[in-house]
Amino acid sequence: MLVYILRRLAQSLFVVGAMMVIVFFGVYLIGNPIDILISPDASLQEIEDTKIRFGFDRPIHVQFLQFVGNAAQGDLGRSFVHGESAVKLILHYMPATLELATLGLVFAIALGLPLGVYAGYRAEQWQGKAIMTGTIFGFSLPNFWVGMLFILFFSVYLQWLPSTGRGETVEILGIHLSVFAPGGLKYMLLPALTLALYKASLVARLARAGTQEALMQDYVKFARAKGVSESRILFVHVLKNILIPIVAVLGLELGSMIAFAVVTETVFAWPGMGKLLIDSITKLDRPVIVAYLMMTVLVFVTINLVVDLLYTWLDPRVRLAGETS
Amino acid sequence: MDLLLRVVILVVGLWLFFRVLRGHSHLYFSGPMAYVSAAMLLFFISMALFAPEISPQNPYDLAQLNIMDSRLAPGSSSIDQALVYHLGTDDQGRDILSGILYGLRVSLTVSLLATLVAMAIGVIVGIYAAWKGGKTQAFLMRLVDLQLSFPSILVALMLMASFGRGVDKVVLALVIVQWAYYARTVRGTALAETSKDYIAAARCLGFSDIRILFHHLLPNCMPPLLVISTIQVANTIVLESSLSFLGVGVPITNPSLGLLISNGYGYMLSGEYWMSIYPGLALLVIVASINLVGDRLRDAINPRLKR
Amino acid sequence: MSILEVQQLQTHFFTNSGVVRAVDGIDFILSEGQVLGLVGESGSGKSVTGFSILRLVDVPGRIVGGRILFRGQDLAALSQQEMRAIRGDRIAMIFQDPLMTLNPVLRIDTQMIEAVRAHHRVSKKAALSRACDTLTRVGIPSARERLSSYPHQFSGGMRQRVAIAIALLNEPDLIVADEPTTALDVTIQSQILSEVQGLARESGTALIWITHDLAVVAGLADEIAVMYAGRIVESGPADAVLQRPRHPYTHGLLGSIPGLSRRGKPLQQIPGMAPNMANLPAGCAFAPRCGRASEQCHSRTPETQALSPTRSLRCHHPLSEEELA
Repeated sequence: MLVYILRRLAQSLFVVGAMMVIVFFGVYLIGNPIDILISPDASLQEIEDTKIRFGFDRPIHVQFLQFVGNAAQGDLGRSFVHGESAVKLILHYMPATLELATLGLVFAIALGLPLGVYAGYRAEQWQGKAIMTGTIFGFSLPNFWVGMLFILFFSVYLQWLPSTGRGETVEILGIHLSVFAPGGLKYMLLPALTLALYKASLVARLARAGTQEALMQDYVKFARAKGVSESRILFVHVLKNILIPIVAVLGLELGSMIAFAVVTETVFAWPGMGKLLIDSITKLDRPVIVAYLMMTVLVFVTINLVVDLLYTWLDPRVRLAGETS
Repeated sequence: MDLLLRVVILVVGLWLFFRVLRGHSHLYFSGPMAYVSAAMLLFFISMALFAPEISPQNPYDLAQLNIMDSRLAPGSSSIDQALVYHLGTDDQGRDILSGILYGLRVSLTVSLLATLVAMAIGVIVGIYAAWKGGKTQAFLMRLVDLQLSFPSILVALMLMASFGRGVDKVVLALVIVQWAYYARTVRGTALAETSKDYIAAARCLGFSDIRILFHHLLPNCMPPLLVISTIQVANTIVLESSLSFLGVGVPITNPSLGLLISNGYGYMLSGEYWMSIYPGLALLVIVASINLVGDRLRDAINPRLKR
Repeated sequence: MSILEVQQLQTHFFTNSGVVRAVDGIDFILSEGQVLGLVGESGSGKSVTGFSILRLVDVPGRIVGGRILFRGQDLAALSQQEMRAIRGDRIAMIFQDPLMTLNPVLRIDTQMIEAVRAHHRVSKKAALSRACDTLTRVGIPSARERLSSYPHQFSGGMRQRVAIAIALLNEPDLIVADEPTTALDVTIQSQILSEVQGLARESGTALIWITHDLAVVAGLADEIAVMYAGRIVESGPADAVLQRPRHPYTHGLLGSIPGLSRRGKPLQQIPGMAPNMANLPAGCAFAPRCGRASEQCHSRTPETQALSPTRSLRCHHPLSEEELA
């Protein structure tokens, strides 16, 4: 088990390293590397100073090492627009995105899993087919359009929920979170639901396929022979069996939620990393873009690692085999 | 584009569809939904192909626009009573319906082109990796896995942030985002096929590698690939529209449906919903019909499904 | 007192390649505490008979005719709800391969407790203690600890004992055992056989033992019924059927069993292959392979004749007493 953990850690470090190489050399391929560090209308003196500070007058491999060194200390340049360290800026907006993505994932599972299991149970009847067609619409709808529709319906027409922005926050361990704040949750509902829709469809399809297969297994017949109720068969026997592969997929989906949040945050003006990224792209605030890239890679790699470990822990056959070997 | 060329494209598309369905047509056309989704898809593609002929107005020809006609509700007539704006107009006086038709064109062209190129690259890489095996395969697949472990939207965003706006740049970004998916799929299929007897027979007959790869292996890897690419076109359309909505996609001079939605977004909250909602509906229907058709297609030609 | 009376049971499968008459008009009576050996080749319909009694026949099959009188109540006419109350409580089933029939991701105690609680309102603790007692009864050492294990942590023989324990949990009146020893080692087989026999006698439970191996039921069964192509071709008290088989098929089956008493004599074989159930020949289904077949056999299906109150036969030309001497 320990060997496995170490091996996965090494793999993760490899990916982070590979990304750094790609970002660094990619910048060289696309344009002047100075551009990612200083504002377009900097004075000649500033350009010279930056060159020396970042060692642009030195050979390229030395520059790369300096880049890595700076990165390790958390220095990936300063934002032109905000004037602060890019890393600090991203970290400031990260909690908002993370909690949105997490709530979105929770909604996606809460919606998709039961629907998918039921669709698998009634696969040949109209209920199963209707749910399946519904899921196709679910992942055909572009993220941003769903968000707009929700705003139109729930905010403008029904006036139940606010349309944009983030409400009150509550500070926990130094991090500002909306989900526990009394006024904050209602601001999260629509964006989280928008995010969740696409994933819920995928989860439902996965759950249905898994359920269909599980229902053909002998242990279901045996459970029926014992007189166990159908709902228990579905939600204990079948669910536990399909949960394992679904968890494996879902963990990776959290990373994808963070990515899709970019669009959702723009629609709902939710102050997270994604909105920061779009603003930075339009304003050509390159250090922030680079910092976002590196931070995202780090988050992804961590999530992948955690999911892998979770998977090994969840499947008793894998876990116990590891222990006895 | 020449009218004849467009008709040819339509015919080729239909031929491809029935070719993939070879022998399995009855499995595809198994219910009303099959006909409806296929018909919708055909309808929309035809509308996009023949937009210049059927559109009431060319919204990008400034001479045809009248600024006095801006922000009119659906069903209104133009100032000079010559035109009825069935779906309303935007803030520049452009007919939304025409905008949708032209926007469909851009969306479909960009996505189809990107998918085709990505598929070509992916197929070459995938087949090569499967054929060579060993270290080459391991290296190429690592590359593929690395790319695939990041969500496509992020990769696309980053690329567009570096490239700047432009239709060609969007296509390039979409190609880069997708090729890895095809490479992985094709490599899987190719691996399964290379262990089959007809490949061994071809080798025994002394055919050159290139000939075996393109004459024998490739045609057998194509059917599942074509089905996947159908669904991928849908995903690409959504991706491109997301990029355009965010402002990093196609330029204003050649808007896709995503950009139209983005332009109309600001007016939505004040009640002038038609500028965003109708293009959005068009986007939904085209993507949904591609997905419905592709999904059914996949089930119809899947040999392992219980009948 | 008869506990189970099957009358003209017919279970057909409606497949794409035609109707398969898996069970085509069988009758038998089982008394309390009696052991019936249901013998036949693969495809004879014996397993389907077992599933039919428990109403667990999967699509595309269903019971199309006949009655299954359990304590006077026709099981074939009950609703799924009513049937569920009986399954696992009054009638239990043991399947062939316990590796496939026990849910691999649930613990043994979970799977046993649910069998009890599906039928009786008892606390988990009470159910657990009953499970523990039953496991000890079937010969599993240190039952308390083993309860928290997973199925794959048991050996094949142990797993089958667990399955038997589950069947005994609610003290059913009837147990249907579908080839429970086929998947086990020969040495374990005989162990399990005698243990099940002892347990059944002890609790007065009636037992239907389904098998393809006549030798297995030889020492176990009170009554034997031989099935061929969906019909019972011969039935009667075990001793009588085994020592004086009247049907050519039964005679052939017995003749093909190697044994010490036949040393030096050539093994008899029944020529030909099992019939294609989707395409049965006209007349007696065994006729193509029977050495005694006549015109009549190929055109008319033999009806069940009662040779004596306890003995029945379906044959136009049964073996006579003189031939058997």
